[in-house]
Amino acid sequence: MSNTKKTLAVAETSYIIRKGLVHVLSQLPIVSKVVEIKEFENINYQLDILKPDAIIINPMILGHTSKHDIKQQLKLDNETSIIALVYNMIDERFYRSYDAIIQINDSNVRIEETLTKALTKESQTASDQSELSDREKEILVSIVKGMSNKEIADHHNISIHTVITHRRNIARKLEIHSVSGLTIYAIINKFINIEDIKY
Amino acid sequence: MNEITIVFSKKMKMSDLIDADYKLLLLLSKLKIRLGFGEKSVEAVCEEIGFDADCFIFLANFHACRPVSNIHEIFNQLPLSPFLHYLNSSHEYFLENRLPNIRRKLDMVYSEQEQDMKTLVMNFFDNYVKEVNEHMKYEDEVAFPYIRSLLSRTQETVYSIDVFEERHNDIEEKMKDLKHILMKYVPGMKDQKLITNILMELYMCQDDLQAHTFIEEELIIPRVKSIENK
Repeated sequence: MSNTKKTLAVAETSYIIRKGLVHVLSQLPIVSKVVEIKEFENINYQLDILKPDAIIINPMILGHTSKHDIKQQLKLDNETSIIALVYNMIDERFYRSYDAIIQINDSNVRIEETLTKALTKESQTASDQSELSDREKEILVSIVKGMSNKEIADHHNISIHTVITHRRNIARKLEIHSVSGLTIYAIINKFINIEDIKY
Repeated sequence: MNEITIVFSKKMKMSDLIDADYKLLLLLSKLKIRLGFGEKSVEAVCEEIGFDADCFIFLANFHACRPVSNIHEIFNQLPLSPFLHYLNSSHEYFLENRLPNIRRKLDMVYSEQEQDMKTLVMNFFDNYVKEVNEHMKYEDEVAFPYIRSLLSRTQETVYSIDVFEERHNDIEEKMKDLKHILMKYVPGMKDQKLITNILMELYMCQDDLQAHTFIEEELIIPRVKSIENK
């Protein structure tokens, strides 16, 4: 399971809106699980078990409007994004403190953009969508040759931690996670010859 | 095609259920339900093959509109053994139909000039199939018989579902890898139509595997744990 997939909680009292939103969210590729919160009495307990990456909440539910108040009342840590679900005609500035805002009349494309932006902001770097860097190509060749993390670290004079970060970035960029898959990629792109690979 | 219009019930006609979501044809195929069921209800068709109709409806709803049903609550009301039967049948379907079918197509897609590439891809695929085979065989021969013995209280073996949970490895990852390799990194293969067809099949197969894994890990394992602790 890829660790980039997110768990979301939806706190909303209206049955139709909650079900609809849960359905829309569950269709997004970035989402692995959406949980409905319908009972608000033990909401803290539910959130504590679930530890969602984000909570989508109608701020009116708890009688608060600022993100800070909601965060305190729900005892959320900084890891959880708080996204406001807005369906009244309140000035948007009111909700500016939130990590994102979903409006009731947003299209599904818009919701996806909002959510992806809110959920990936820490992990995203400038080079995220681009090709492999030269360094990553070198590391890739070492991986494909069957070297261990320790061997790669020694060979390239970097820490094991850095090797692991490189591996993660390579897998994310190429969307190939297995060594055998990376091998095919490396051969197709002529980073390595078939003969150089020991099985 | 993700529009949900109905939540299924066992009184409805089987043909209406398939019309509502044609992907459920796969469910029929896995459970070896033969086509030509005329105007029969879901319940009647299930009865003919001796499969619990409520479990069938659960599986149909699960495949067609997972996000809007209370999966866990409903699952816990249902008997467990039909699901084991379903998983066994799905294994058979993957190993004997789905994967060989993909392999046959892959085998045809490369031209004379692409033999190196072909060897690589076929090796990758064959190793993958071997892994899936081991994974599923273990479930069929060790894990599921254990659950059955637990259900019939004839359990003698020293085994725990924790062992299964521990070694339940990811079989979707390499399928995703293959998908991305074929889609993004193999340029200009001669038969683009065939490769498109293979990709569609890989996507469907992956969805199917994901649903399969979800049933095993999120439904079956927790349920067996609670039986063990009784």
